[in-house]
Amino acid sequence: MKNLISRLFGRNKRTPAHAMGMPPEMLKGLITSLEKTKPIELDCEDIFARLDEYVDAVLRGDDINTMMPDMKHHLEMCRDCFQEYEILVSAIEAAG
Amino acid sequence: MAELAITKRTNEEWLSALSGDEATVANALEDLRVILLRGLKHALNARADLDYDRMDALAEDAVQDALLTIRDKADTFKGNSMFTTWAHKIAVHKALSELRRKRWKDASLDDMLESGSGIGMFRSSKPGPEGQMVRSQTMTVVQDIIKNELTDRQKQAMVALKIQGMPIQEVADRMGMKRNALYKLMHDARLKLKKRLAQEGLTPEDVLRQFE
Ligand SMILES: [Zn+2]
Repeated sequence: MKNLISRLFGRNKRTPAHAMGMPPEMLKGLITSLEKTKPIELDCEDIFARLDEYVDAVLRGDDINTMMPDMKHHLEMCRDCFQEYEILVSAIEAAG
Repeated sequence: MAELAITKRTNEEWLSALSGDEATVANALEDLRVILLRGLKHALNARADLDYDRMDALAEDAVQDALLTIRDKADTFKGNSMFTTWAHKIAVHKALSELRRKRWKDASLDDMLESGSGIGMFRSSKPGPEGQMVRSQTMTVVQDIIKNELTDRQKQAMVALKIQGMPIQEVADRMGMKRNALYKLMHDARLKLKKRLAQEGLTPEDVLRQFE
């Protein structure tokens, strides 16, 4: 019955998420991050502790995906750590 | 042309210089100051997203502060990277923390939560304008789970982090938490949401299709 109603009244038409209270950017960002969510993740302090090691490996051209997948994963999930990572790389390169 | 006078040092040489006599330490720190400042100034000024009009002064303060930490904590350096990379890391962290603090110093979590884009969105789901009354079943399920099954603190953090774009450290400070604990809080929220969507027979991809 519900299905019938939804078909008749166009419930299957896609409704923009902003029609419904929560901002679509937030929902979209949140749901996107679910695809990458793992049961156990490193936290920001873990990242800071090993960021120097990680950046040196990146700059050497090491295979980060294999060597430090959890670090890479956190950097994909965490805006702030990623910014720190990018600026660190840029500082090292500029310092020569 | 102080830059030309900088001695290239191996990790061992840096560490031994920093544990040497006063003059040796001062000399090493001065070299390090020049290296860190050159890198940091360039890196910060190259970022369009870090809009701050006294960037060079901020970089100088951050490096000064970092040098003190480096001198005091040199014995905690594990040797898993170049010593200078470790030192840059500390300077970058100091600079970014300060920039984030300055950028958000007037922002109140309470104000954010009271504002239109705040926590109110979780309380009721107001019907939209006429043409948008028809709802996607999927999005309703998703929003109901967020609204009813995440804790208030998870929702608060979500608003500040995802809508206001506040840095995690700034949100953590205002919620009286450590940065780690806040990451964990949000990680738990993601795990919960993921599990509940799965119970509803939905994958993240199903939900994302609603945004296309
Ligand atoms: Zn992080």
